[in-house]
Amino acid sequence: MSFTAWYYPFFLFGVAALYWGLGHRARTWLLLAASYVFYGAWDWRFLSLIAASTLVDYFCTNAMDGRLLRRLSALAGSLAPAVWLGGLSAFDLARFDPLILQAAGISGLVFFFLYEALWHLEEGRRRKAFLLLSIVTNLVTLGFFKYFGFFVDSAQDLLVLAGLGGDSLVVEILLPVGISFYTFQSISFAVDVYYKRIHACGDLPTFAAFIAFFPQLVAGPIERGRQLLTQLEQHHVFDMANVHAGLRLILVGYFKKVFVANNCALIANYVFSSPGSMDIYWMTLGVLAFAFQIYGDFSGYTDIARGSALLFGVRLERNFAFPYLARSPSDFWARWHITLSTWIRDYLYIPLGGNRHGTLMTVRNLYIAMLLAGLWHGATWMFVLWGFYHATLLALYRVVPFLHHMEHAHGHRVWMSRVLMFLFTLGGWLIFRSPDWSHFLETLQAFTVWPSEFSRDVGHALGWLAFHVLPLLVLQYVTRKAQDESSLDHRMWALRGLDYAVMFLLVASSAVIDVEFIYFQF
Amino acid sequence: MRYITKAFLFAAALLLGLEGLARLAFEDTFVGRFDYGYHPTAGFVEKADHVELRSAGGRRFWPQSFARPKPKGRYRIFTVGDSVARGRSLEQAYPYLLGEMLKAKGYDVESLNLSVSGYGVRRRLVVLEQVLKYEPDLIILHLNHSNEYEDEREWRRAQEAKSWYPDQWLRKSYIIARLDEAKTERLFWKLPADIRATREVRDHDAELAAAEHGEQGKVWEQFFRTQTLKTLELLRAHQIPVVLLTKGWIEEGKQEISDGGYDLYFKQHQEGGVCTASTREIFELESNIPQLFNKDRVHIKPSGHVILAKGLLPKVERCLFAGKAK
Repeated sequence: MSFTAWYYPFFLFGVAALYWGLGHRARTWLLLAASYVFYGAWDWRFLSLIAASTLVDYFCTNAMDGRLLRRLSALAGSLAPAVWLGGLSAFDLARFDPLILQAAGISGLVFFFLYEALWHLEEGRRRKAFLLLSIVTNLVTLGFFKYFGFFVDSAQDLLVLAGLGGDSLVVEILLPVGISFYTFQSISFAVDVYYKRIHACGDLPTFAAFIAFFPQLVAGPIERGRQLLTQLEQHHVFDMANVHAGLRLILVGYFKKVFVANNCALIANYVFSSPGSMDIYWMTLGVLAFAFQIYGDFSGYTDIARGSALLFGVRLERNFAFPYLARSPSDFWARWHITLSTWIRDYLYIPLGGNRHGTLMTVRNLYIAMLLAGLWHGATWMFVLWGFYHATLLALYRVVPFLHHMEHAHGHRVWMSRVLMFLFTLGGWLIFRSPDWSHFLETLQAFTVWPSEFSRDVGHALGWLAFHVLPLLVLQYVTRKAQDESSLDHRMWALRGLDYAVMFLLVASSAVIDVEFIYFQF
Repeated sequence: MRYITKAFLFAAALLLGLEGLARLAFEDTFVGRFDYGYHPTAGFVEKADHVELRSAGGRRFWPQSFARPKPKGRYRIFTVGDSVARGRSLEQAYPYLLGEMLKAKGYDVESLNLSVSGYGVRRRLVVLEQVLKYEPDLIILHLNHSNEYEDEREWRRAQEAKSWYPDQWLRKSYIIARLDEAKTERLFWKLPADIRATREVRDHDAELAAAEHGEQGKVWEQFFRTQTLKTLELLRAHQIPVVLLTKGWIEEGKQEISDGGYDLYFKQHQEGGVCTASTREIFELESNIPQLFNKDRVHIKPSGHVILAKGLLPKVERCLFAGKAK
């Protein structure tokens, strides 16, 4: 189910209304059921994947905390995903290769016996072993569904380069929506339990609701256990202020997604569909349109997610903080997809040594972290290149004095540093938006084509872009002093009411263009 | 908490107030607006003793009025056409000029211009059906087959607006529908067709405009002919004389005027109160034909409208006043 589906508001408000009428235990079950329906509406088969990820982490983290589950429960849990797939197949609700069913059953049994075997290790080794089991299971699942085709293709290309190429193997595996988000959330939870930053959750429905919480399931924010799980464990008291804040976030989110992103997508999709036939005017428009499309799309999603969660009294993390006002690459990553940046920082960059071992090691760690951040976005070399580009920017801002000074600029130079960083960001988007290297070269080439005159078509496209971006810039200006870029609470109530009315009208008069969220594919 | 509630309440009040205002104070503007020309009475405002023609309800009539019932002894002429017959202003277009010329000759006549830009044969028929209620003595039907795709586009938009599919629910609001309409017409349709093609839904304009030059164009041309003949049948059944005025234009790179073969075609259907007139034949008497057209070679300059009115005058006199007293 998508946030932009016409029935999502009915689903959301229906579930929220039920939620507040139930007791704590029933609420947990309701959230879990709603989350599985939300995800299952896209593809019922992949519920088995979420269930598997949930059960693996539930067993492993509890084992790390010294809680052994009863053998029968462990066996039932291990086989639950296979049973689900078998049920779908038996009732003819989904079609898949019988091999998949066998693989699910065998994987479940292997996990069960591993679980039984690892439990008998001494405590220190057992904790480590269960952490590894959790991480490896999550990464193998992610790797198979997201990167298997990529690595097979790359290996084949290498063989061809070495003159050893044979028949090409075409690998097509359907990518489960949001897999990168929920596997990262699972991994971070296991790591936090291992380092005793948080206790394992003994209650399976609550833990399952934490992994599958529908507002943030498919595109984040990537939540930590101590932030989200602890909230799900608490009994919430209905607070009208949360409902208002939630509705405001949902409205702002739809404004960013439906009004800004979907309409900017028209220009961006057109320009990037055939960059070879574009000139400098069109390319400039295209990359600007994409910059606002991806920002509106992803930050809009986050706002709707945060707003939806607030209707259940749950606060999700901020994911964006005026990213295009960043003064340096590190500032940009502190403002863009914050929960991914902090995840990479806490679970990869700092364990690698961070910036504690001199410039050379810091730069090495930056490259490792950013290359993996790039690859997280998708299984193509262009995302790796995009990570490399940002790692290089981060390194350059550390070692080049001019750039380093720009990061700490004062007065009017602040705006110079912002403009410079915005241009660097646009450069990054050119890589990000290109599906392959030749397409990217074509986009660069288009910047060297100077037409003899400024065509009317460019003018009309510019008008379209301005109409859809300027209101966003006004919103950013209005909220610039707030901690939260969607917060309007500091404004007088009448002005705020006017803001809401205008945003609603802009959204409602644009609602017909339905473009899928970009980050669903990650 | 109340502080936050106020803002939402104010927003809701503002939206409801705007909607209420649109529905109560500007009802005339909105009635039929989202029928896109297919509403029978849009633009016709019936008062106790007269009818006002307004630019309203998505139908851009020049502001005019006429008495109801028709005063005894008065002749009433309605011209129904598209942007060519509509002209730059009411007073510069040939229907008005023709009325003035007839009055100068001593006839008690009123000539009303009911032409609307982009109207093809289907929407002209909707206007005509309404006009029949207002005692016409003569109809001038300005013919042109180039608006059929716009008729089809607007028909689809009207059907979409009527739909109760959930993605249309918000558009039941006049304000939202009007904003969407303005954005579509003023911004979206100005984008190059390739950009519009990237949007998968609701681009009837691009789709139909592209089809106009292919096989669909021929289908519409045939449709135009058969529908025009049906219109003539309707007028004959009501015993209302009609002047069929075929449009003329200059093809790209040429100096002479073209009629697309319609002059000959409609001359074959002159019986039963139907007279024909041809823009081409009227303009061919002039020395510098291109000077009578705008740059687009289709729309006529005010000087062209004067010539057209003069050329139509004898035809109208013959058709309308044959055997009748002034």
